[in-house]
Amino acid sequence: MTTLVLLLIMIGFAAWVLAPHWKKKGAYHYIHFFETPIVLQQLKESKSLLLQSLRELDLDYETGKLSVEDYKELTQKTRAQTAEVLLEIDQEEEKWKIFKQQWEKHVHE
Amino acid sequence: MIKQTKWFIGFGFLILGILIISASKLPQSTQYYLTVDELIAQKDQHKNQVIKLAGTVVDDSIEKNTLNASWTFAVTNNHQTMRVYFQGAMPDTFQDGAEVVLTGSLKEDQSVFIATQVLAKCASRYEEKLSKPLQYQKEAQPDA
Amino acid sequence: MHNAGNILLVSALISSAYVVGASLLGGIYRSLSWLESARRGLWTTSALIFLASAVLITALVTDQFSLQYVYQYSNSTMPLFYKFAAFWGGQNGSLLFWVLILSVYASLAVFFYRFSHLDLMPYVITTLSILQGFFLILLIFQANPFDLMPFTVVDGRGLNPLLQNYYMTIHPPSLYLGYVGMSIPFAFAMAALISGRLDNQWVIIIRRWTLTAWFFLSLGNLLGASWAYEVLGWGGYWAWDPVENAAFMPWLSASAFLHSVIIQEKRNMLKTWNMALVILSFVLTLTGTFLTRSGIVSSVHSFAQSDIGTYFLVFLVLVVTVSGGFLIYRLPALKSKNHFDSLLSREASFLLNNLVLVGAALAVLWGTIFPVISEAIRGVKITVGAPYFNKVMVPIGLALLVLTGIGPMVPWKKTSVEALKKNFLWPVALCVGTSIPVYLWVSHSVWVVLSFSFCSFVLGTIYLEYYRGIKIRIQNLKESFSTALIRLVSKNERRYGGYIVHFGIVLLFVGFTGSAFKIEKEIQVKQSQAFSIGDYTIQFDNVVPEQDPHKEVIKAQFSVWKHEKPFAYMDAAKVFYKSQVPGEPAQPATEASIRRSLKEDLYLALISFEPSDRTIFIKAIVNPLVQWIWIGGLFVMLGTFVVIWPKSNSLHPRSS
Repeated sequence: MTTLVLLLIMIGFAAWVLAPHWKKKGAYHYIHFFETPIVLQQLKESKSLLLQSLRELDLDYETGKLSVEDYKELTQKTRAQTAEVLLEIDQEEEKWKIFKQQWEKHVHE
Repeated sequence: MIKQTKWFIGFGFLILGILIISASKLPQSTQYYLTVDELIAQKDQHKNQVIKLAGTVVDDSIEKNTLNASWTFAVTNNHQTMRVYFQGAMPDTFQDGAEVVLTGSLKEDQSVFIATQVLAKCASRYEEKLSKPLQYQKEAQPDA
Repeated sequence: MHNAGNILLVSALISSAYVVGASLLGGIYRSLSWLESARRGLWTTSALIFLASAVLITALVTDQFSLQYVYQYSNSTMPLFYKFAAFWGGQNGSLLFWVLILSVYASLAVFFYRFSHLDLMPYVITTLSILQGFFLILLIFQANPFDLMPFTVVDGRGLNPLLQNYYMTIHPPSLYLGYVGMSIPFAFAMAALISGRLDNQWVIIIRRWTLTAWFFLSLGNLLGASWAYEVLGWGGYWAWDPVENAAFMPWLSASAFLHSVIIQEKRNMLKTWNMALVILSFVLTLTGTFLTRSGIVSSVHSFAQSDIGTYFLVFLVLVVTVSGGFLIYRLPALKSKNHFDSLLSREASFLLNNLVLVGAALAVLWGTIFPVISEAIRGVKITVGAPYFNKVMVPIGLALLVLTGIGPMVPWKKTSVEALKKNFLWPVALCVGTSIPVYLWVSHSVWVVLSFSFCSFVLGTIYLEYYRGIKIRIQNLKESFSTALIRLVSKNERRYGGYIVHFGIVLLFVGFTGSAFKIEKEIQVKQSQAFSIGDYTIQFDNVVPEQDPHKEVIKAQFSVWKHEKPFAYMDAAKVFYKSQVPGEPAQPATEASIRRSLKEDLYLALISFEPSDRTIFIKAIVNPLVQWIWIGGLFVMLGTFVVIWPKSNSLHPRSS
């Protein structure tokens, strides 16, 4: 009895695990569809890290742990990086919007 | 500007330093770990030396002197046995047949091992008994 | 039970083997269908392991003594609580528990990142599945918890009485969560090495996982210390036993990683070093398990000797070779463009802290494996005792303590004399100010003076950091003190949470230093006799026996005076757990009585009782400052919590 139940469970699992191979190719071809949010997510992570760095630089400077030159140099560098990342985020979000529209159109058709 | 590699070499020496210090502290803190047979075979070599002695407590050999809370018992490795004298706090797991690790020394011209610390292990005794099912069947109630 | 358990284990092994293949194909061909299949496969392996664990727990709870494991570690009169805990009370069950936790971690990681890090995830899954597979092979072929008894028995032997304590339900799980938690960072490190995505992505992902593992390792070690203190009856909390060392070494290397990862994020340096640290931490968890389970190192809490040591050794060699090989292969890509500017910079001081931490881990490892090396090379068996570890670790610990104060106060890149003065004048003054009175009135020991002075130095730096941060907020943003404090911590949670952890570490050191003033007495007393220790006079009043179905208790009662004034009544007990196997003697355990205070603990443990003349043999200890260890531990936990707590991004102004 137990063995039978276990056998059924195994078959169920096996079917579920192997299912992705039998699905129509198209179903898994949306890799580009979610590559965009991945890039976006990474960009946003770097943004929040950069912002945190900026805050810490301020704090370090104000508590006397950075010389004026170092503070200026490091802040400038970090700001430039942040600006770059923000620009990229905007671009990606634009792309993502277009993708979404296309996808929705595709779904409705 | 100093190159990073130089830093690593410098700091590498630091780790090396720590390791050398720790290695040099080792000899003062190590003790020989011997079985009863080994100790008896190399009696002269380890006389008056603080060592760890491993063996099994001989059944019915435990005697307790309640006046000064001292114990005498015998340990063995199936071949030779050695008498042990110990005064102090006995661990809860100490009993006939227990595997013990004793810290102490064998005094010159004496046949008794003077222990200063007793560690007793019980766990391995469990496993041992499992491999002797015959003995067990006697103890277990015969309902099979 | 026997069949069901084995079927589940074998099918889990098959599943994990499939997942290794599927995930590799998914990674190599960047195939989403293979990746999805591998992901489902990993969840399946985990579900099967979960079911197998459920079977074993059911067997334990419903007293299925036909299973060897249940017979050995449970019996019918044990409270449900301990029947459940017997799951990890023996070697085979604990290995199943181990792979169960691994499965939970792995499933969560795979679930969290199901839409992201597609380039890393296939190899993360591969690594985790190989780990699962290894433990499953071990469970099936060497340490099977579903083995049948060769003969029939009516009842089991019961869990070792030393383990029948509520700590048994929290200490092992917490330690295992910490131990096994190191596999997730390792899996991501391997994925980064295999896939070649060596940017900071993997480091950012694993920071929180490492912190989680570190949190549980800290908690587990503290609970273990507290358990030893309350139950083992020798009045200490740490014995440098190989099992303790096994949990301490990965804690040290993970601590090192948590610091050096900041350098990688901020300055993009130490990439190779960080990779090596993650691998080292994982390898140390395996080494620890290998050393303690194989029986080649004798330990008080080791399980019986078994052959699983060989399996671990082979796997260990495999892990070191493969991960080391990949690390060397990727060395050119890991090279950093930045470099150290000055010895007096935060980068350098963090690197120093790292090297000392790793040095500490290696020193502990050296002492732990030295007996093995000695036996292999010289054929002489020896043991390394606590004195070695104390001698080596006290200076190393103090060096770490002082670095805890220096590190956060040194500027990035380089330091001016002015900045040094501004940051260190007051803490150093405090440090010197502490050392003199301590030397004059407390102790002439160099180590004690250094320890207390360094503690006050670090406390000074932490206070200064908070004080300045709050002052700036009050000045610039016109916040009230409490808002300034809360915002300071919540906006810079890594730094100020870290300081809370450091504060806890300082308290721990205060507690450790207290052991230098320990007074210990083993004494034999007759009824109504008294003896004195420290400021206390202790009179042995009476012995009271108590009994219930599965244990007998002998309780010795004491009246205690402090400075000649009545202070407390204390009971120290000896508990005899009855065995359910006929003819087997009851197993004794000690229940110490502890009177705790911030200044010192009074600790009484009953060693033996002689009914004929009503004398007892008792161990009495005055243990100064021990409570600070547990308080410090709480702060370490709290600080880690602040650091781990997910930060809502709403705090940032949205700029787009």
